[in-house]
Amino acid sequence: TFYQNETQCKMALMGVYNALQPNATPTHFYQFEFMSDNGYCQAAWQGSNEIGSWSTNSNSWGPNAKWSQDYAIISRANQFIQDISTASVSDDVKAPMVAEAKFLRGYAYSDLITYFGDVPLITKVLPLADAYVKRNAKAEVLTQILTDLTDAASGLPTSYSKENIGRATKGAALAYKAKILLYNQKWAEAAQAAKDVMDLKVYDFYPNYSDLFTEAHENNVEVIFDIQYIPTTQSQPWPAEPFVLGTWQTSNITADMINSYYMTNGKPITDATSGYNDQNPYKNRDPRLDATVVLPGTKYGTATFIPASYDEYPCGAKPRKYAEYGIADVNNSSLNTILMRYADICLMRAEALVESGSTAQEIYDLIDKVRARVGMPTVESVEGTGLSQAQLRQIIRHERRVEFCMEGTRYADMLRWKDESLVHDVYGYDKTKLSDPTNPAKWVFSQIKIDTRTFNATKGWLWPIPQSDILINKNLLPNNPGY
Amino acid sequence: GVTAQTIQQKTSTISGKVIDTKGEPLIGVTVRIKGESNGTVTDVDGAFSIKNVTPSTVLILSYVGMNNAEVVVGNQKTIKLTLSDKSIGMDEVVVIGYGTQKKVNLTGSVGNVQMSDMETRPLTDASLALQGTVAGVYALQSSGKPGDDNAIISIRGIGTFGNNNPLVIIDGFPGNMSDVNANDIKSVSVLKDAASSSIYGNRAANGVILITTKRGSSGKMSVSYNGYFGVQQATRLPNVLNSVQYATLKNEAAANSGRVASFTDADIQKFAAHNDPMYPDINYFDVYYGKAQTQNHRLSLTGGSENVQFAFMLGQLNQDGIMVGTDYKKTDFRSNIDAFFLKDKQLRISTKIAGNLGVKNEPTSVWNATWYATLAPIYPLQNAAGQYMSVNGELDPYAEIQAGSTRKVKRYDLSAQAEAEYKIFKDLSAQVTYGYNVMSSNENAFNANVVLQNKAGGTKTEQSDLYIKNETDVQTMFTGLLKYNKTFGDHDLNVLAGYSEEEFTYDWQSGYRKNFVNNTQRILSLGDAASQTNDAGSYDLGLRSYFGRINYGFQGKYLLEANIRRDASSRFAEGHQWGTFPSFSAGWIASNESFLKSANWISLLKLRASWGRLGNQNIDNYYNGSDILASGQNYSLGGTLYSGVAIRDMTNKLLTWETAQQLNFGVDFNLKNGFELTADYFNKKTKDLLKRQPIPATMALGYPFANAGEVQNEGIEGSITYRKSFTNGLKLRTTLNLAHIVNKITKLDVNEEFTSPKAIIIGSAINSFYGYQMDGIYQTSDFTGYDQIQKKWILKPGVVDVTDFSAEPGDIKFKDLNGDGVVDQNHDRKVLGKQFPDLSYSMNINLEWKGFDFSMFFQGVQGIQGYFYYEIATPFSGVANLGSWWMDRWTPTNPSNTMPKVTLNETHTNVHSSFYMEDASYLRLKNIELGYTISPTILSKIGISSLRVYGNVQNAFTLTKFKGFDPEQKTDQTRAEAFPQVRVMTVGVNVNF
Repeated sequence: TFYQNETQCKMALMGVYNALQPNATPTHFYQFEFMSDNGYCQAAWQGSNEIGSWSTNSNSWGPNAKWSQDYAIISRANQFIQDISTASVSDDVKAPMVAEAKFLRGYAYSDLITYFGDVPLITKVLPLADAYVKRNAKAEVLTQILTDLTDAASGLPTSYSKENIGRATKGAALAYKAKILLYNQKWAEAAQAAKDVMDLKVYDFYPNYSDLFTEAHENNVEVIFDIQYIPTTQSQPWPAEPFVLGTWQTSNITADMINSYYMTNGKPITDATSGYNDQNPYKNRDPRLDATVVLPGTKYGTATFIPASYDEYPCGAKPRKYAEYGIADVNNSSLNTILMRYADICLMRAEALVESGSTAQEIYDLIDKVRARVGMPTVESVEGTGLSQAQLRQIIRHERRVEFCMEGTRYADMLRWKDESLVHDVYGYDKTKLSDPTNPAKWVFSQIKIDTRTFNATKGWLWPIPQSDILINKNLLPNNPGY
Repeated sequence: GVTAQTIQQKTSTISGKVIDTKGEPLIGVTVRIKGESNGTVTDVDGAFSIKNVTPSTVLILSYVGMNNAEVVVGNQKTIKLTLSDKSIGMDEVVVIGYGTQKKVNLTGSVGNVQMSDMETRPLTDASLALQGTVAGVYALQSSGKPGDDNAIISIRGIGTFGNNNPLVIIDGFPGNMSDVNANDIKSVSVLKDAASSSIYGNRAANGVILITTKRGSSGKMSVSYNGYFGVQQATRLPNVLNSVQYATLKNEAAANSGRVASFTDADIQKFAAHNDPMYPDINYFDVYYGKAQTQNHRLSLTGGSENVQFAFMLGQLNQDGIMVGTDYKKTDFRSNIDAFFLKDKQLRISTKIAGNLGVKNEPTSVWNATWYATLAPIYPLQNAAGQYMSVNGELDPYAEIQAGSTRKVKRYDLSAQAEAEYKIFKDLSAQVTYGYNVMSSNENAFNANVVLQNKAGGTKTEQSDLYIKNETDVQTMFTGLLKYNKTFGDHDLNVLAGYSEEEFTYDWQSGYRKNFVNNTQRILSLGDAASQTNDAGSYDLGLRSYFGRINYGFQGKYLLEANIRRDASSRFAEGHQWGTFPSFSAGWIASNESFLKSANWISLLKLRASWGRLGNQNIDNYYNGSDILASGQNYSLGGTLYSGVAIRDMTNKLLTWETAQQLNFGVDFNLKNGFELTADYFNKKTKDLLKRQPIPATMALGYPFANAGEVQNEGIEGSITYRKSFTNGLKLRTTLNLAHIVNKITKLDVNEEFTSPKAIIIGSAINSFYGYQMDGIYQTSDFTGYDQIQKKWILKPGVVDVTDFSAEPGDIKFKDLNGDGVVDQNHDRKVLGKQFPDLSYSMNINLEWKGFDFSMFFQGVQGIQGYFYYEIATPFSGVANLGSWWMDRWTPTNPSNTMPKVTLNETHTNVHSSFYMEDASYLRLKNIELGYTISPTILSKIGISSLRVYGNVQNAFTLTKFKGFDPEQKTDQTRAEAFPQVRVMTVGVNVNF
């Protein structure tokens, strides 16, 4: 039998982490951007399009893949926790490893309740006869998540030495606790959990926003939890890997997203005094726009991005964040995927405070820190002081959007905010007017409708339990409304 | 020695006449002197004369379709000889399990393939000889890809969810039909019922195919050569749209789905102009598929002395594939030697060695090549400078193949057997066989370094990489037999007892590197060492068996047989390993009864009945003895890769043998006027089905195997043969085979699988097509109008709605099966069709006249459905083109009720329904051949005993309504990623020396 020594225990633990890597196209982090108002992917087979247009059904690939992957993490974690209990190794070895498995289980269940609501809560290895499980109330699952993440936080170290970087830390457990509390309107506890992360004094803003997402600056001070990749033997799975400028042609940034970046003076482009020129639209914009989006006319390498030349970029703009420049082998990208970073802790705490009714100065300070890193003006200097809860809420929601674009958080934010106004038609540039390669000065920037999206109130904000699993396990019925 | 004898004895001339059993003269019969090359042929009156014969001279007479005859001249001056038709002979012997039996004494159901019909057909794989030749055997050619064009054979329906392949025994040794050349085969017996096959109990549930290769005989050495050249092309490819049609329809689809148009009017004009390589009009089927050559050469030598006999065969096949980058070369040999020792040949030692070397080339990703063969015509292949273009900035399989992205597989197969049989007493013999088969293959899959031009400017570079894999598959078998045959009075008794032990080991190792120094030296060590990875695996299986048979006949009228076999398989956990498989059968030869003796128009009337139970343990490499930690579940941390393990599959430790019980009733009825009829009824019930059991996804484990339920295959099969020789010399032989099989799942102990497009449901055939029933098209009149706020069409009351999307004019309407007004997945899907035919049939017509021979072989299936979905079939799926039938799409002005509108909204089009299902029945002229045999009198002067030239067309034409690729497609195929079937036109020559 296995689990004879520490090496074998670690091999089994790595088997649990292994399940964390996305293994289906629609579960890659960036596909969640294309489901939101930030992005668009017209290639229907990739699975994000139907979710973004609220035409998902219970046979859709995306929900199925998410469900399967999260339960794979859970099943492996349960198996690990069971088997290591009888391993002939010391408790000093066991305890932190069990904490890691619990972290991963909590992470997976957080994901599940966010997308599916009530889900079966399985915390041990079940014999087949007992495997035809019912769904547990979301609140009940949340309680288990909080237990797991609290246990994990108390059992995990705050950091690792180099060859172990990437394993779950105390900070990661607290950060995910903050996140799932926030997602479930436990404002005070969420604010506290975020504070606990800050109080660890381990994390800070990385000074350069665009470097944050590059290979050369991996494992920097802002990263709280990520999926680690290395070249050749454990590179990013397809299709994350060709997320390289110029090759992967189905990733679009919407006009709505581009328009949401403020001017460097802190004013939205819709503000008549902002100085925005719609025929020179990228001048004096929040630097995060250029760091996140390849815009019409953007130069990269020796090429200039001319939207009209591409059939598959109907929006005329594509992601830059997470794109690896000049990589020799596009199928061998080893860029880590950041799942949680310090800026999120600040904005989550700010949001939790606002939602709990506070309008304290700390909220301004937290937002200002996020803006300061990219040189954007403070809230106080643009939006003013003495703002209402509603005003601060809007400022935070906007800040989250521009800060985290292409990091896979927007779609989940939309689900928890339940803001139907965010589901609307997709707009992009009229590419035919962005065609002359020799003279970008002649380009005419006009925005046209690219695709239709409508919120379906019957389906609401939850994904369907996969039909394929319902066929095997009738106890999962009824499905979520609308499916 | 011969010459000396001739001198000593007085020579003379003998003349004679050869007739058939009806007294008609036979023209063109070869008459030669045994041991010499001297010979002649009979004239129009059937007469001949030969000089220089002595009383001890033996004449050998041979004639196509007749039994050879030998006659001692003696003191006769004139002689009258009668030749009988080959298969009417009551002495015809067929190969059965661990022995042979007179056909007339069979009590089970055994089919035979007339191998003499196959000799000149361009069969690249021996399994193709089973297509349509034995009633109840369904042999489906899986593709036209060189080296992989073997037939998938099912005998009497699909009885299991796993491997349905019958057990193939080649000269007593389990093997693969692809490793025997069709020309080397002397006989093929298909053991169809349980009684015939139960002696092979453990793996016989899917039926058994026994192949016996040619052996030598004493006498003059005979040498023969057969060679052909041929051209292949795809049987059929779907008709697809041109660029203008594609662009127009795509814009229409974009408008229909609220999206921006993909092409401007100027773009469409450029497509129409055909003068800008960036705006092409390419039928990509023509890019990927073309004509290909094939040639085959075969030499065989047989002969021997009184005590040592041999057969030696050597062949070479060179086959180019119709897909770019595919070809196959195979060299094979076979040597069978029998030596007899001791007094009265009491000891026989036989050795058989056979081997083949197959070298196959194919695109590294055949899937990509078949997929991109469906590419829309608007994608440029090359720019004005002739450089290859990427498709949407991604791959271009054609350019990759041209640059050397091919997989080369070298497969070596060597099989050797030694067998000794010793007659202990007159009636009792013991036989020991040991055999060894080693298959080794060497795969070299290379992706070339390719630079593709992007349409938007710039290039896309694909790095080279190489994957190599070596596999060794070794199979050993030991068999010991005791055979007792005794006739006393009216009683015939045959007893067989045996023991067998088989062991299988399979090992593989693989290696991988990237970034090679060039595209031509595909050697692993020339890749970047930093990128290397490797892997390996290993599997074992052991089987142990005891078996016995008793065969009893009384007065040549009443026949009884009983078999029993007890087997153990290492695939099952301890306590579940052994299975016992008995069978019983009986026959009654009514025509030997006195009350039928007077009916002189009957030559044979036999009634047969059998029952038996067979086993199946074929669950791939799955081992269920204990939970298995899968390796390779790795994760990297801080730049270091850590090995990881996890349990990935659930195991079922209670798993045991699947058993198939089969009841068979048959009749053989031969008339003296040339008709032969065989008919069988069978009912085969497979119990404890080995099937993967769906388990909840929340367990996140691979499905375990379970003994899951029961499948029944019930059917009738029959074959009618008619032979006639006409007075003008025309000879006719025609055979019609028919089979009707009903496949049905009768019981499931695991969940039914209501999955589209294929489901597993009690009461239906295995993997039946399942989905919505199309019920016309939503017309504009079905709606009250379009709601601008909700952005949806509002249905009129009473018009059926659908849950998964909001219906629009032009969408497919589905039948509301439960009548609740809304179509949903849980209540409105049903079994739409099945993948097995109601009726499979074939007809063979053979004509011979004055040296000419002509044959036609028709084969068909009726009552079978095919599913044709996604690429080509579904509008704008990925980068694929559309079938030309989409020109007939629904539009407001063409309110079709059979074709929907085009849309980019895949939630409306990617719905599994009867719309994508089609009638896949077909009638095919599988083979047509015309040959001419040049008169031996002319040839004998140059030392040739016979010479035949022929032309042959395989898959000559097909009648079908199926819109997709060839209707003869792999079961389970639902998309376009098929390698097309091929039509082969050959000319060849057959020479015997």
